[in-house]
Amino acid sequence: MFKSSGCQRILVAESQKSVSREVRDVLSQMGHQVVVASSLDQLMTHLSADCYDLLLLSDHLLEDEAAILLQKLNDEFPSVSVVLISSTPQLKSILSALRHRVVDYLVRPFHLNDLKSAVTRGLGQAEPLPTDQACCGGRQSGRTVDKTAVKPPAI
Amino acid sequence: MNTQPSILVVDDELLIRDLLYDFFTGQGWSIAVAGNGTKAMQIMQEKNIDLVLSDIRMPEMDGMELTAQIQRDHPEVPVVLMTGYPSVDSAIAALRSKVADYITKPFNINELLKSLEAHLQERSKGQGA
Repeated sequence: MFKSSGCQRILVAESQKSVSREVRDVLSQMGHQVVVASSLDQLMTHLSADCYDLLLLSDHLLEDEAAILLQKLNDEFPSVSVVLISSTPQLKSILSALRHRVVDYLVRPFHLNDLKSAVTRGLGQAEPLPTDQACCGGRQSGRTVDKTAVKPPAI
Repeated sequence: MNTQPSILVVDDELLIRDLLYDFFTGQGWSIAVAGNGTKAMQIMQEKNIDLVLSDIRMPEMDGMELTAQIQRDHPEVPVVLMTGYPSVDSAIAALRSKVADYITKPFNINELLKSLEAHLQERSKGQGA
């Protein structure tokens, strides 16, 4: 089981397939390895089975369990940076996220540039391993450098 | 960190500064106060501060700008922001600034104390590591 940081992999936890597909495509184009989880069970299975640097977590999956899940992530996967994506931003949930060290909080609809900034912020907090110690095969060297001009449609 | 925590309270409201000064002094803490961010940065240069508790809306330099300067010049010092005008936007900005906490006014003084104690303890552990 891999749980160390530095693998430059992103787990997208989103129940809406059209959204997760679009996010995955954008992040893949940026050179990241992206895995999608469409349920909380899948999310925990992926986190337990493999290593990730960043989790993009949609509040569609959370319902009323956000604080519990964030605490669990802090306790069991402290090296994974978390970005929350919300359709219904509320002060209470943002403060809960802040207190659980969430690195960014995106409000739908957001632009691709917002997503890229959040990913940059999240991966900036992950401690990279030397390339010969990368724990996930095929590690991408390019972190978030995006040289392609992408129009910023809202997601 | 010393056994007696050293806290810098930054608020343009004299009443709040006095209230917090009296309360934390009563806890045995060493308290410095400033009415704006500019004065706060001067105090940061002069004293060993363990934690900054700052209002967001202030003249001259607001709490967000103060946070950025503290994180640049004193990255080891946690910042707790407080505001009487909480909003989704300012809370997200605070989250992105990696502040230790975001407290809404009016606050429960004992809950504020608990939050500060937790962050002081965390800082102390970090320094011991």
